[in-house]
Amino acid sequence: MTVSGEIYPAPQDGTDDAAELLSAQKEQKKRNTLNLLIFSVAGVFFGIDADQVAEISAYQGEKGEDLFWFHEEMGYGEKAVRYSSPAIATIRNGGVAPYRVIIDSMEDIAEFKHKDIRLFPTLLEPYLLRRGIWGILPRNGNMILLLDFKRLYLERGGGNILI
Amino acid sequence: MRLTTRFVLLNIIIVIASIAITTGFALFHIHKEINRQANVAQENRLNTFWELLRSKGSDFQIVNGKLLAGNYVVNGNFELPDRIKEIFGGTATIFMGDTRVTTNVLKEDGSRAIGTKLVGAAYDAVIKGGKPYRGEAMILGIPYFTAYDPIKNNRGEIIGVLYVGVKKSDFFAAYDELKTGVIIMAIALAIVLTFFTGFMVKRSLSPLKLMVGSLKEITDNDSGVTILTKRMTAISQDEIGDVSKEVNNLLDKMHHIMTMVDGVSKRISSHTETITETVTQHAGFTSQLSSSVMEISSTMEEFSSTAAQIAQHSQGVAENADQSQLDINKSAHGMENLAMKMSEIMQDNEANLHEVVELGRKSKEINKVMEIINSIASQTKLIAFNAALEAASAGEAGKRFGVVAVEIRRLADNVVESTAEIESKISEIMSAVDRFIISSEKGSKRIIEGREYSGQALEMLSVVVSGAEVTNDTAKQISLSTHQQQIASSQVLLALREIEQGTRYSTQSIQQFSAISKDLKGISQEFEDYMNQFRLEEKPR
Repeated sequence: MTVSGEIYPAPQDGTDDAAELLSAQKEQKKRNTLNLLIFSVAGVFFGIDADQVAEISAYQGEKGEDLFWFHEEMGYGEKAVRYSSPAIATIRNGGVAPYRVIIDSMEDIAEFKHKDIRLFPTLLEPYLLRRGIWGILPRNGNMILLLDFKRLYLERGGGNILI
Repeated sequence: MRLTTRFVLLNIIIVIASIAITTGFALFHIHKEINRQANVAQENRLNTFWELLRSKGSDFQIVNGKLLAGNYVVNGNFELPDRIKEIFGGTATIFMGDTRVTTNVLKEDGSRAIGTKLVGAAYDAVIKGGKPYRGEAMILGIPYFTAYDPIKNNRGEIIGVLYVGVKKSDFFAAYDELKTGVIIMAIALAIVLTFFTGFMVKRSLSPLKLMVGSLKEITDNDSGVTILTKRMTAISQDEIGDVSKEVNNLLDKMHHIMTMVDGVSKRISSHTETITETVTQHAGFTSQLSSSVMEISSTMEEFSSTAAQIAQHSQGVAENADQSQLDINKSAHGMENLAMKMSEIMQDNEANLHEVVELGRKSKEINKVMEIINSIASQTKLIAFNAALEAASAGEAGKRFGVVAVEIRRLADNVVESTAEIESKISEIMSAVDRFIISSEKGSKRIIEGREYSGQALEMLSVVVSGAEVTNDTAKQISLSTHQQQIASSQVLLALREIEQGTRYSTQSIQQFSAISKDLKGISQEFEDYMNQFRLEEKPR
């Protein structure tokens, strides 16, 4: 995944080939948008890149070494967290090791523009990146914390992930 | 005026009066004796003068303007007057008519006073009256004892007057000296006796002064209180001393009496206060009694009025009781019908309850179906999410598929929402069913209770019917009794008015008694004030 706040150059004028132009425009558009899976845990909204999620399945009480509760991964502390409609999100980690996270209250899978995403100040960014949080997206009066599960997996010592 | 002064003045007056009276009495008698002796001497002198004149001739006549005694010419012949003067002294004169024709009286120039006239009382008595005259007369400004006899002729006519006289001073010179000496002596004696008497009076009355001082200490001291514990100290051995002793005895008795009077006064004062308090309390009690009686009277008037109304109403009650008895019989019949209807309602209620329970059971079955639908919707939603993930990962190619996935997810969400709403409604129905069942069960219980109550009411109504008969009789009795009560309350009211009148009189009497007791208290206080003017005990030192 490429995460940056850089400005992507627009296609240059003066090309003769319209197909190439259309393809370039599509590529440009793809670079300018991001599909996010929106969910909430304990009233806090989170968003992850839909490309990082391989599958979503219902949680039926099963357990496993590769299965983690989201609030434990995020370090919610000792506070008890109640899940109203838990579901298992299987994270793509390049097949190195299975990595599944139990999330709650899935809201939507939608496309958002890069320019709507707010990055953290330089002073806070290193700390938050260690917690897997890389940005904020305002939506409908709510703040959505954007997560990078792969980075989170690496931070917890899950080995190398092939990106 | 002080007693000593009065005594001294009285003594002075007595002494002076005594001396004056004694002296006056002595001098008066001396004067009287001198007068008598002077008269005797005058008579002797006049008789001698007559003898001398008659020795010259016993026939008296006036011839040629000359007085003759026999042949002896009297006019200008001074033998006889001078002879009288030689024998007795004094003056002698013979008048022819009222004119001096011979005399030994000398004028201031030393010549004989011949030719002068007889005037005054002697003239009137002798010349006019033909009577002898004895008395005093002023001769040439000098007082004389005089004696005049008429000289008559043979025909008894007064032709002249024979006169002898002597100066008063010849008789009273010694008397005057004696009088002066006696008066001087009397004055001197009066002065001496006055001082002596005054001294003696003062000395005699000095114990009286001491007694007055002691009495002043007892009665007229600074505190203004009569000190009955003090006594007369200076007691002389005379009548004043006796008076002091008697005064002491009197003070003893007075002290004894005043001590008793003081005790009695205090007791009277104490009793008076008690009487006043008692009267005040009694007045208050009587006042309360009066107001209570008035309140009772007022209440009894209301009571009497109420009794009349009760009597009137009780008559109505008796009439209503008859009507009530009829109504109660009808009510008993109605209650039997009510019990039958209650049984029918109970049966209907049990049938309804059975139907409602069945409805609850079916609602629960619907709930189970809704759970299945909900599970399917959740699975559908997951599938839709996975499809959306796949579509997202497929890029532009999965766009349409993603739209379908979104629609499916929305449908699933709608199903979930609908099922949730249905579940909510079913829950409300279940709650309503539960409440209805509970309510129906309570209603059943109440219907059963109502049936029981209606049965009891029916039984009670039969009792009430018999009671109504008794009530009817009782109401008639009450009507009779209330009528009697009305008469009794009127009598009580009459008695209360008499009591109120009596209480009013009693209040007035107590007020008078209170006023009298207050006066008595004032008198007692006044009496104590009087008693405070006497000190009956020694002052503590």
